[in-house]
Amino acid sequence: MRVFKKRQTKVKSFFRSEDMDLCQLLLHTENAFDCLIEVGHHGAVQFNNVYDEDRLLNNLYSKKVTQCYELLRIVDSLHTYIVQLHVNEIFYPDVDRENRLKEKDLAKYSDSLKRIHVEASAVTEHYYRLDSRRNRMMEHSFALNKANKYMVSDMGSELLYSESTVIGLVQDATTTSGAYPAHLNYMIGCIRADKFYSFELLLYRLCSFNLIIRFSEMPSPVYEYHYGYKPERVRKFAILMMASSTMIWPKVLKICAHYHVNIYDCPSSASQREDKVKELSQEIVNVEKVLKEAELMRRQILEVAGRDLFIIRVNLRKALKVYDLMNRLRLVGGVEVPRYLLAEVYIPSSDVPEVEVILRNASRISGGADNIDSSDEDEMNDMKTMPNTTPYPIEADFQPLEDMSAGAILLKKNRLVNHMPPTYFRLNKFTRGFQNLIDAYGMADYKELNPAPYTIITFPFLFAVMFGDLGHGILLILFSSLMIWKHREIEKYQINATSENEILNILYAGRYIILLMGVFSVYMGLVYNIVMAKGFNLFGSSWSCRYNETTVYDPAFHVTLDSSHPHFYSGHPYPLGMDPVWAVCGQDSITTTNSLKMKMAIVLGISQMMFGLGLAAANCVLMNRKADLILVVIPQMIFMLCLFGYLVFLIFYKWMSYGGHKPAPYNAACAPSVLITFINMMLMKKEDPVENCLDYMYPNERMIEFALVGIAFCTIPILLAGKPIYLMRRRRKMQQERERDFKRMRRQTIAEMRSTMRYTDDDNSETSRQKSVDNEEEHEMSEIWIHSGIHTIETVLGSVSHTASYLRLWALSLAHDQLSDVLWHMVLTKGFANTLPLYYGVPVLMATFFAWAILTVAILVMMEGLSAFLHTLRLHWVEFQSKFFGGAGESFKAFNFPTSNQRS
Amino acid sequence: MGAAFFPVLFFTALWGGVGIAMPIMTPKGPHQNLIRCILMLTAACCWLFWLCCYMAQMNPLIGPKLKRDVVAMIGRSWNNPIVAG
Repeated sequence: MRVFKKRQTKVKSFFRSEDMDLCQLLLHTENAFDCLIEVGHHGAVQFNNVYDEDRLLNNLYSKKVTQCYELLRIVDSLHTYIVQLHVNEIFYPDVDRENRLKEKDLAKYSDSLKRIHVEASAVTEHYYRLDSRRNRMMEHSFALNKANKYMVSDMGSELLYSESTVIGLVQDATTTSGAYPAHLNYMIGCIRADKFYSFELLLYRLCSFNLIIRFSEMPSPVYEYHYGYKPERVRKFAILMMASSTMIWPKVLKICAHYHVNIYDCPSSASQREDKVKELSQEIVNVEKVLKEAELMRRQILEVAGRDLFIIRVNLRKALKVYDLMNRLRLVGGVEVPRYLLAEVYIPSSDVPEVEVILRNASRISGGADNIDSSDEDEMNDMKTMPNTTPYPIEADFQPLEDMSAGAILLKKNRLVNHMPPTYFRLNKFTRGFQNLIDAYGMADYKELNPAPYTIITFPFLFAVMFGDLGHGILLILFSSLMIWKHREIEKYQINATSENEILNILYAGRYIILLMGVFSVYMGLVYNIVMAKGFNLFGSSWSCRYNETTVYDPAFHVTLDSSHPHFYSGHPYPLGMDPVWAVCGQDSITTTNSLKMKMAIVLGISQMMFGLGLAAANCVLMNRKADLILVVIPQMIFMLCLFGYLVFLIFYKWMSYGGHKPAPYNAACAPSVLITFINMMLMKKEDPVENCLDYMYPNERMIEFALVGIAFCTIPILLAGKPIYLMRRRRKMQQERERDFKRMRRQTIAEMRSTMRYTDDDNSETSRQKSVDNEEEHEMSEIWIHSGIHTIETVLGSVSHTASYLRLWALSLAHDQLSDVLWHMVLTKGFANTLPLYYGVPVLMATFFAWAILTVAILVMMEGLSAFLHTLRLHWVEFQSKFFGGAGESFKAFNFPTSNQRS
Repeated sequence: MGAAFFPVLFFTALWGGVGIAMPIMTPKGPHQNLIRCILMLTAACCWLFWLCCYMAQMNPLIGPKLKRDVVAMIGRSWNNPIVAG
């Protein structure tokens, strides 16, 4: 066996995923549990193929898994009792560190849980029985009271209306005079209120007027206890039933049993009834005393349980996870006495030494008892062999061998594997938010370039292009700074909260994104010259106007400053951002700002797409895919540069060459439209020049444009056919090499092609490959051609649609600006302009300001911010990442215990 | 007359300092490359944005349209007094 050597690895940033080592982990069954507990806390080991559906369990730990489930059920039962009585269950925030689980602790947990459960169950059952008994006595007492009152006061008058009584009286009159009516029979009981009406209706249909029912509701609900269910509070009715004949009682009793009516004894005389009530009251008082004692004892037991229940629950869940994993590992060693568990694991290369140290420490701690036993045995051996001299080297050899066999062993595997290693990025609290944005789209392939480092700046930047406003940016900075400053309180709240706050979690996870979005919005506010819809004049406007009073006070006054006159335009632009004159001239500035923002959106969009293609080239270089670089990425770059790079050049050239103050043919009248020029270039069309203007922007423009279009269209056949032809030639060469008994490498070829097309490679077995080599080759070749065609179409059409997609930067910026202006003019200006007296004017102004402030935060910051966020996300996921990002990898799923919180 | 000399030089030097000088001076550590990437991207994005805004206003094709109250405000606040007569 070769032990993996320590290797110092430099920690890298997350431009690419971490190096992964495929290792074999050999665990001794005596300390595997403790080793895996430590591995779970460290969280840097991924076990391969253990959670597949067809994985066979070794069944060595099935009993342990069942035992953990049983103990967790007991924990839940105790938790239910604790919640019922509102007993305090102590929460330990540091349970993961201070109460770390060991395998021998499980026996203690099992014993203590079972003992407490037995005691709690017994006390609870006793309490329930006492409470039921008290409830029955209370019902009995109440029913007796009501019956006694009823029969004493109303007996004579009610009986007159009974049909059977009237008949009886008539019969008695015919036989004897003055005889007493027939003897009445009566019965008392209690029934649930929700069942009473159907009970009464049924008795009426059965007995008609031969039975009289009177009922009264008990003053307070009582608890009913059923085994296995939660105690239930129910309303109860006390009922009194009277009948003149005893023949109907058996039927009535059956119905009462069916409706769970509690029947109680009722003495016949009033004095006996009163004595019974007093007796019941005394018994109720006695039972209540015993009940208080029982409840106190119950509460004490549950308080003892609540002291440790959280720790036990958390550790039992970890134990369950570990035993389930151990049950899925492969057993090696002797057939009759298996002693080792074998697992194939992925570990980040830089974490391998740390994992080794953890495993060694766990083995040593777990072997402490063995060491004591071993030393005891040594002492006994020494005593026995006191007269003889034992050779020292033999004993020395024996001890390390035992340690070697008991410890966990981690071996690095060097053989090639078919599947791609998982992707793992080492992140901190700043970079995690940005990585989450990328992972929501797709996980990077192993060692593929990660878009997240570049997204740290480009994402907030593009957001700010749409959202740019100095005031709103400051609001974002304040909000995110508050979350960053209060991060300890927020994390403590998240741990201790009994219910999860989804919105707070999302905002807290993205607090650094919000901070950068705010910072860049402040910068954009400076460049756009916007603070809450208003501009500012820091450096003096480049535009000026000098008029006399006659001109200004003319009723038809409406002037456009002439950009060709030195009195109006100084010749030098405003140094930082937009000139403040465009802020004060109102809606008339839309023409200029729209033109600026549209061109800016195109420039930024094409820059980002070219940056993405640059990353694609870097990715090909790093992954050693020269064919992809030369035949796919470089043609794409040439295509983009010849067409859309030229569009950017046209934009800059027009900005430099044409101006209102320049003489013809470079003045405002002769300025051509960049879009029309670009369309004419694509259509190879020529337009007649405007009078006194040239028909070109620069000399030889037509010729250069035709050349660029020609070059761009020449790259399309290379994109379409370059790689398939290269693969065909390579396959032919490989076939020749195969005839010379060289190793075949077709699988990698297909993997390269398919990874470029974002398909996961299939693991074809050698047998099926040999069976139908010819058919498979043809199928694969046609598949390659189809993918290449799709990729070419997507590249060409995608260039146009992605460039147009970046115009949303202008659209959202315009929307944000106009909404801000509307709020200013329609809400706050009305407060400023009100002419009410001071006593009323100030409250009106305050109310107007609060309305404006609330609407600013709710609409402009929240709604517009979310809209800009989503559009920025789409620009990154589709327009930027489609240039270079495959996103077909698997994430590194370490065996890990999540942080314990109140809800664990 | 086109661009003025000082603003172009100032902002190019500013963002050039952020994008070229500061990455060179980044202290060594586990996140050195990440910090350099952040600085260079910030400088490139901000400089490009400022440049587009500046160049768009170098040679304006049309001037702003102003109303009477705007002219009065400019006359009072921006040191462009209205001449008597």
